Amino acid sequence: MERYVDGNAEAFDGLYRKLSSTLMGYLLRLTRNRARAEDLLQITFTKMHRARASYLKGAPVLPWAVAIARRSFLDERRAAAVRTEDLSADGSLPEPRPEAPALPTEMSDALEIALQKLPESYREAIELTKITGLSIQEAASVLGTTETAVKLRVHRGYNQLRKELESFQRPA
Amino acid sequence: MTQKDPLADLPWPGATVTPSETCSKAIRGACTKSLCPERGVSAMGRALLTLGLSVLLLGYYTYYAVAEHRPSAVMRTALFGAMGWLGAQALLVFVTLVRPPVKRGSRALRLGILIGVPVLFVTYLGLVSTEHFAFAKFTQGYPAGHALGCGLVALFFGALIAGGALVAWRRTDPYNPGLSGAMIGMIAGLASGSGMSIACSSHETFHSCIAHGAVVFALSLAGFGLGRRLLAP
Repeated sequence: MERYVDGNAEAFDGLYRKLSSTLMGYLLRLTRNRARAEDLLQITFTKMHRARASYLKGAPVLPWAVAIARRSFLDERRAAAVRTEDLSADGSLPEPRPEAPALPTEMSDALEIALQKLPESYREAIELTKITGLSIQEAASVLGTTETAVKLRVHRGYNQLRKELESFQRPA
Repeated sequence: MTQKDPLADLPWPGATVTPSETCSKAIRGACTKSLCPERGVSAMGRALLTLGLSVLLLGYYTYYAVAEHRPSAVMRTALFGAMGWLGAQALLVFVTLVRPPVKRGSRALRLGILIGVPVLFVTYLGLVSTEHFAFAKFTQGYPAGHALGCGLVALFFGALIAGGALVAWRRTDPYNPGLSGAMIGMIAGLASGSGMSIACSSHETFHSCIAHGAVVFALSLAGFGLGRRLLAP
């Protein structure tokens, strides 16, 4: 990151290789739509490019990038909430919304559905620490809260997740 | 002894997804086009700039008070108070803005500071005021007009400080830009409100608390809104 701030274009390639797939995975989990996730990935990198001078030397890059990606997503969601209707590319019909499968056939599907059922704060804490791979401390800085609060959210989220998964496994 | 992850056995989804080639190409193009070294001002430089603006305003208010021949004893008391609040501003800048994000304290703590410090400031203004009118008298005629004038002047100078500081800290906080903006607004409000006590001829309780104190709340709120736009990358 520091070499990129110093104007080294090759350093950007390294940085992009290191961050893009993790950020894309994170954004895809937030949006559940590949096109939107790619748009947000572009916005995130553009913002990182504009703010590179304010990057704190020596600070970990991933939490900084994830925080920018998360804020871009929240801004985009807020803007979308103000719009009255989502139009398709030709401007006429609303786009079909993806629906979750009613009955999970595999454990991974069940986990995905159970995650979606969690309150947003618990889901975010679990996704950042368990899936994106941030430490508790880094997740706390991204979410703007304390480490204790993140640990608590993860713990409560785990308990709720376990209950949800047990209800999937129980025979009808 | 380390605690075992209770859900380690679950098939967690993968963290990484490769973006499309078109997307990667567009990003590379945008981020490497005419790339040049860019080194911004350090966090310490920004902090000193913020505090420098407060000192400048304090200097102006003091100059105005001296030029207007304010009673020296009252002015000295207000000046000591303002210096004390300048120390508080320095502490707030270093703790909530200069330190790395993980060491700035939680959202709850910063919210507590944003509510507690203005309340403390207004209480201080009430305690050091030397006159007291009935509230009915304060809301009529000259006292009301004077309070409105003082409030607007304090707001104007405070907004100048807040604006300068927000520009200095621009795009530095992707984590909590609203709270950082509110903190900058509050610091500017403290500089303007405490400085106003030096320059103003009235040291009446309601006048001090409302005309000199309300600016802290107003600028904190404005800073919250502007911070979300200016401080986020």
